[in-house]
Amino acid sequence: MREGIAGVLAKLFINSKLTPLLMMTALLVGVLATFMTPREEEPQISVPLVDLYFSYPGGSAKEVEERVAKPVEKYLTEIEGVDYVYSISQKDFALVTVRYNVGDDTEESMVKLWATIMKNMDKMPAGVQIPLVKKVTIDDVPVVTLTFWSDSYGPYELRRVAGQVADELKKIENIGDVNLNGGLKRQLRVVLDKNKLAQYRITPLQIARQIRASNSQVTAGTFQQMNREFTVKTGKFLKTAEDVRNVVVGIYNSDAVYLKDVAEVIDGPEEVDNYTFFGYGAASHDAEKQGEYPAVTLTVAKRKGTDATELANKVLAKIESLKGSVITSGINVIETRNYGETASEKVFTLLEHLVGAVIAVTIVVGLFLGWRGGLVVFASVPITFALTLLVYYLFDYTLNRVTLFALIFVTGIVVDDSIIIAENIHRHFSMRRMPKLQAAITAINEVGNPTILATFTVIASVLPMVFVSGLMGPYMSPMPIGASLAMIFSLFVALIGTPWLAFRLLKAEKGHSEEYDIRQSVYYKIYNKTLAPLLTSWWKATIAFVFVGLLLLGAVSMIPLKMVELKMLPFDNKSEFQVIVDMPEGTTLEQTARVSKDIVSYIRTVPEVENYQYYVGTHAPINFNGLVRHYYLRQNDNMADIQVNLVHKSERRDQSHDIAKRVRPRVQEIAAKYGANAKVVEVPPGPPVLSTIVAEIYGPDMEQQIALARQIKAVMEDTPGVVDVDWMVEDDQKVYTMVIDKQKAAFRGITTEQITNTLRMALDGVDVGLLHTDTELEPVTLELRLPISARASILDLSDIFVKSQGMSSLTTRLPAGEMVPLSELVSIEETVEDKSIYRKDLKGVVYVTADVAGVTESPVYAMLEMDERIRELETPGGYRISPLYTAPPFSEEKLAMKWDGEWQITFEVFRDLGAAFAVVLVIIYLLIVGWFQSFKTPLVMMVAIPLSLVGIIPGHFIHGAFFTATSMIGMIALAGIMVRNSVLIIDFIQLRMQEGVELKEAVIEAAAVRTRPILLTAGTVVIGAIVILFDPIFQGLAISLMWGALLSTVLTLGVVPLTYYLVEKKKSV
Amino acid sequence: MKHTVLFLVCIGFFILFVGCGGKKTETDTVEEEIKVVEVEHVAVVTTGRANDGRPVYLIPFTALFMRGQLEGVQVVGDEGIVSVRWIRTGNISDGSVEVLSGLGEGERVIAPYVMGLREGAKVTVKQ
Repeated sequence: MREGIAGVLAKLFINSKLTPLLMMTALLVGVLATFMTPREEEPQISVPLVDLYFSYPGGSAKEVEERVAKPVEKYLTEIEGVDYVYSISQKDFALVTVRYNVGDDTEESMVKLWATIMKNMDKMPAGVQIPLVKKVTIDDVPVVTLTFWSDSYGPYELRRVAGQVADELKKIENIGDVNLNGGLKRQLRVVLDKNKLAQYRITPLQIARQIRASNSQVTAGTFQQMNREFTVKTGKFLKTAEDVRNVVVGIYNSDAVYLKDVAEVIDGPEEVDNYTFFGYGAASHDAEKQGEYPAVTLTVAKRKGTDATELANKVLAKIESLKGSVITSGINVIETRNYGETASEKVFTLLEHLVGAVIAVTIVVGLFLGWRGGLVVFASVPITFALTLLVYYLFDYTLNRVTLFALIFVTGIVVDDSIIIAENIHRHFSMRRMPKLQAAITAINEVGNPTILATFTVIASVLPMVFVSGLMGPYMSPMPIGASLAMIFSLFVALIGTPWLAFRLLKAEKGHSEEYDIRQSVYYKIYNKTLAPLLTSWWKATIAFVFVGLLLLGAVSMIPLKMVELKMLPFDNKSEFQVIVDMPEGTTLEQTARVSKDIVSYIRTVPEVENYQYYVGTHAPINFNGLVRHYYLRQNDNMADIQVNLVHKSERRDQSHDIAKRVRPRVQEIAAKYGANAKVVEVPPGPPVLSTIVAEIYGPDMEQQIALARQIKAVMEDTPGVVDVDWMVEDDQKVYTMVIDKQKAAFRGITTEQITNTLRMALDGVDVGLLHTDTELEPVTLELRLPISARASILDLSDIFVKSQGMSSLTTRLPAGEMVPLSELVSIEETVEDKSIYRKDLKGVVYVTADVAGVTESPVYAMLEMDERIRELETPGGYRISPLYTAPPFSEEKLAMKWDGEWQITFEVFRDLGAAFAVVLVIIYLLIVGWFQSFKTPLVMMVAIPLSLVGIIPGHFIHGAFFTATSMIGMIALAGIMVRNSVLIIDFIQLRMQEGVELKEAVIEAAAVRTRPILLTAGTVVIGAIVILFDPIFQGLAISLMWGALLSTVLTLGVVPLTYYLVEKKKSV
Repeated sequence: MKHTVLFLVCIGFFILFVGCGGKKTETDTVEEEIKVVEVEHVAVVTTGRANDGRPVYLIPFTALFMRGQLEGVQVVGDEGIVSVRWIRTGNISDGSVEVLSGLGEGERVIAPYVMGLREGAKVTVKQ
């Protein structure tokens, strides 16, 4: 009898006193690791995004593009590892976004980026400042948000309280960024009085200079006297509003003119620049609170690698302790996001799933092998998981929705090794041919080595998923790593722990008094009736093969027939969604607020809405999606974000995606009434993209691009199922350009700079320093500006003055000090504001974006439908546009369009998974060739792989589910499982043939003997999968595993022995 | 065979159990009765001219109320339903205030505003 590694290991440990200790230790350490591993909502993905903010004051959009964006893009693309470079050029400003290869070291990338920017700074035009470089990281996303709202206080008071709370919260360990959204800051506003300025002959510029000059204090130096050193300080900072009022800004008729003479100094809230409100929805327990209340939201991020749950609990405890002292009775604090809780919930759901699956599996095994057999398997599973969790902890993984997925994924397959070993020991005990110990070791020897091989085929099938590239990579990689580790541990447990347990627990069943004989079993009888005729008659075999072939063909044809649709990832059942409102450029804050309010007054009546906040003129607390889409830049007057929180998923029937779908038409109807664009944005389950559907339009010049974009936008709007259509082209916005008569200005001794600064001060206001108070948490700025009532009539420039610089301007000989009204120097022209210029990878691009919902849920089908209509569009050159799928056009001479968005990731993932699958097949082939030393046998075994499709695709059809990336993962894993089944059968055939049994008899016997363990393992896979069938994301995986395992197992049990028989028979003839 | 049947029965039971669990309560939109409030006067937003001749929207000064730092008016919409609108104001002259943004021509505001009037109430004007 050959004795493999399995036998040696079993012999060593089956009677060792060490075995139970090892098992106990593994279990304990694993339990500890479970509690020590940090839990969080989002996976630890290093988003390799860096934003560069270039400011180029005075440049038009086109100029910014040519002078700043283009050269910067050029040198950035030279950096190794840079994947994409995007840019947006606007008036005065360019935003360049660099995306690195996913998985690159972020610190190293930042250093390379800085070095390149510095190296090229001398080539930048004068006036371009050193850019602000901001790395975008997943840990910027707040894990807890708390909304402060009040019935009696305004946004200013709320912000002050929230600021105080933020200061306290910051003291908690492991806390990240703490920020405030909404509310009004304290500001010292210097509101100029035009008439008094004219009366005292003072200009705004002069005031700015005087305030700056008075607000200084320095340490002048030291002097010594009588062996002591004294420090001298001079000057005094402006500390109160009174100090500012008493600044001398000029002299009029030999009297000092104080600031209070020409301006009103107000210490208080800044001018309203955002509207942030909170309100309860229909599902709230406080439904009687119908109004909406001014609000400020405090956001708390966490430090990298720390536990979100723990942090969230600490934050909430701190808030509780501050109630009564800082948070006074009129102020309410409500939790509007808590990723700590959701993360914990996910972990506990997983544990429930695991326990459920283990118990179910135990029952099934118990039915076949008796309760003692069940107990053996029951004990081995927790040890496997405990060890896997330990490794997660050691590798610095956190428990998040992706790593949890990996664990759920392997639930069904980690028990298999133990089952196979336990089953065989049980069988050998029942045969009673040998004493117990020897029987156990023989049993392990018999299946041990094929089990090792089989485990490696399963590992080989999942491991190549590590190589999925792009943004999806970090989502995928914990899966193969976790699953592979779990498989290896389960193997060790099966070879060391299971025999020890089985030896002690299993007993030969009393009922079988006679020697166990395979020929007596039900399985043998079935096979003898069904398989034997096929083996003898070639035409019966052919019919069987044709039948299976037809089944396969029928299953696969369900995909082109659209009975089963492909989709990247389905939506998760979240408890939130956002509504993003964009008004036409040039809309006032109040107008945007009004539209938001109208939308909100509908949303609050939706039965599932718990509460909502809306942020006008500022952004809502970002989530992972917003991070990638740059929602944190949404701060203009024409933009608003509405954050909608739903009741917990256990309290509602509909999933969040269905609610979003239901809400969308009405929201858009309201928005359309005001000419606004409103999008209902959900948190995507996978990597975020700009939008689900993105059409990138390239071409020779922007006007043609926009014209084509307009046509494509119309096509999208007409296509059923395509929703939220928008484009990144701003509406025409009227601007007044104040053209300076340079000649006149020079003659009067006035510089252009004086005029521009004065106008800027009047309208936008300028910061002229800080108020140096000791007690304030947020800096209090000094702002100089005209009152809002005077700004409305700014086009009348006759009462705004600048002072002639006289001879010091070097252009005139007139005396200095003459007051010149701006109306003399400036003429007004009406123009249209420059539009932002978008570029991607050095090519000018116009984006049209959309989402899918309703008729089609998968962007691919919508894209294919639109393709036909886009091909019919007319272009100025008379050629046709045919949308590109994989790469941008090679040349920009003609108009061209490329699909991007979710499609790009789908394409990359299925491409990489496909390649991975090919590699899997090769590795499995090599492994089996190595074991069986035959080139043909592996092919016979791999026949089983495509058979899983017969179950998988109709399974999706029956459940009405999408074939998603998780389905694909299930399919790949099944390949490993199916091959393992084949290995077990064929290995036994060969074993019997070595013992001298004839081929046909050996085939039938092997099939019969192996049916029980194979059915058992398939059963456990099915049951392990049922547990996750109701999870929206894992549904695809569950269906693949269940139906695939069920049908392909049944088919494998027939097809593999049959094929092997035919191949071997031919050989022997 | 007995075992196989048991196996299937077991799966069947399991599916049944998975389907259960989690209470789903039907949440209906609660139809509230609308409160009717009688007010003194409702003013219409008018177009006027500022001192320098540019066109402006005007409302009575009494319509304006402050909520902390926010300026608001109570707008009477379709069917007399009240909603609060946040606005930005400019110059004030003889009882009228210029509205820079937030209100359009022809909209109706309650003047003088009624303290404690909640949104969603229905307004009738005293004859």
